[in-house]
Amino acid sequence: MRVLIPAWHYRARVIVQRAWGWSPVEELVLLHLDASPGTMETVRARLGLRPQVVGATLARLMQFGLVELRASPEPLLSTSPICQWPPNFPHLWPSNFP
Amino acid sequence: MTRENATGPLANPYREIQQTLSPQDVAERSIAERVLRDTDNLLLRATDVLLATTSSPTLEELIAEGEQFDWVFIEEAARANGAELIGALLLGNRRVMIGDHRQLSPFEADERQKYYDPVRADDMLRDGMQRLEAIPDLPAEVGLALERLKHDRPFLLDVLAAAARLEEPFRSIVEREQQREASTGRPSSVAQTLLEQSRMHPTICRVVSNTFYGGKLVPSDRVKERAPTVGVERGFPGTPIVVLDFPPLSMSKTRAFEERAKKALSNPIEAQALVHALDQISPLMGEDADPPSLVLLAPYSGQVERVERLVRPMVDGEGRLRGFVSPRGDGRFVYTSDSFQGGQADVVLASLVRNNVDFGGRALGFLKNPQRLNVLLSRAKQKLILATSLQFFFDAVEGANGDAASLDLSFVQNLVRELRSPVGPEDDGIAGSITIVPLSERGTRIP
Repeated sequence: MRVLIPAWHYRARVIVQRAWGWSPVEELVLLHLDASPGTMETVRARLGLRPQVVGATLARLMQFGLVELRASPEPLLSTSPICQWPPNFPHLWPSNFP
Repeated sequence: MTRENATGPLANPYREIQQTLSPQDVAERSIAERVLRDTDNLLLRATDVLLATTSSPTLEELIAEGEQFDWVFIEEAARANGAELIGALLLGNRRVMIGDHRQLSPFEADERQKYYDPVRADDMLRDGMQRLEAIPDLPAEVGLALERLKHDRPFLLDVLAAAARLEEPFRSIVEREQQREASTGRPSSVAQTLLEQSRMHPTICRVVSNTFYGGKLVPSDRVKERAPTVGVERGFPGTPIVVLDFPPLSMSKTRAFEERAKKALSNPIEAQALVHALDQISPLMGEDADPPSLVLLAPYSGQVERVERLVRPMVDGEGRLRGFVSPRGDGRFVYTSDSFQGGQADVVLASLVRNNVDFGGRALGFLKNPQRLNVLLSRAKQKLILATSLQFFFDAVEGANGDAASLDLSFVQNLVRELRSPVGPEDDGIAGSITIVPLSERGTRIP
């Protein structure tokens, strides 16, 4: 018995870009800054991470526009408006979160 | 905050980390794989010091992410071609390349140089565009560049010269700087030659220096003060260099010294001589000292296999050969000289293999390349035992300045002269010289 399989041959220009996912460590830093904006030192101390890991994580989060440096009232790293919680959405953070 | 009391959204990533560290089922294992890969990448970007080969795909990823280090150091840079160096060089703007262009060149450098010959380039340009048409999505600039190369001769020659230099960037930079130093009389601000070496015994250093480095290489004080680690037995010479010297084939009754099985070239009698010498040396050790290392080298893989077969039964249960440890700590004692560049051992036993009735480059085979011979002779710290025929090497290049005008074989006779001049002023007053042990064609000692 002959089975005919319909097939199409496509030609297309593609650009393959290898993109890395986010590590839970990066996620931790982002969520932490969302709840409590701080400095590299506070992130390092609160999450118990090595300064190099905090630096590399912040560099990538800033490249993607997820974290920015807030200049006032005092200079702090905080999440940017694009990843902040929608204002009318119920908040998940416990009320006593630092 | 600790992971135990993490609440709210922070609990999720902590749980993911926990599951990654000890996954319980297939689903968790699959997540763990992804998490580890992504975390690996994070740690890579966070690292202060990164060690990598120049062809590692990791370098490409770091460049794509715009990573920059304060310093980039490239070891054995003379062995890398331009394509292999560019990745590492892009990772920082302060770069130190360390290498020796008088040792082996990048892989197939000679073969690749042929592409940059103008006649060959003309051939390739003639139908270059048709050949490239097979590659989809070529930028339009390629066609324009090929057209210009076809019609602008001076431009083509410039491009070919630049491409040829980029096959051996380290060598071309160093040689250009040396020429500049010679013409301006001022030291180069880019390249610096390190003249002091801390590996070879002064006698071995003298031979290597006079043969390959114009006599400029000197041993450091550390080398001169080093305690000997190699002893000898049953009257074997205690000198730092021992040559087990066979007669040349032209003066022997034997039909051939070299043996060729398919493409593998070996020299059975030289292999036997090395194993016999191996039986007459032993390690000398202080109580706290690490045991000395030993390696057997040959320029041909056929000879390496032959020696390996003879030596393997001699390796003891602890992975030692006559009490010596392997140079790379992996239980291997026999290497081709090419694969041992960058390595070192207290004792080196080397067979040069070639002994025939040919002439010039054909007689020498691989050894017509001075860089290869330099690597082979400069691996020993304390003792170098060479199985060869000095007279064969001397005669093979007598009156022949190579098969081609570009091939200078004078280094071969310089080496033989050095080995035959037992004590030189560069030995620095340290006990030691060279012993030449004349052997018959059957490998017995000639009194």
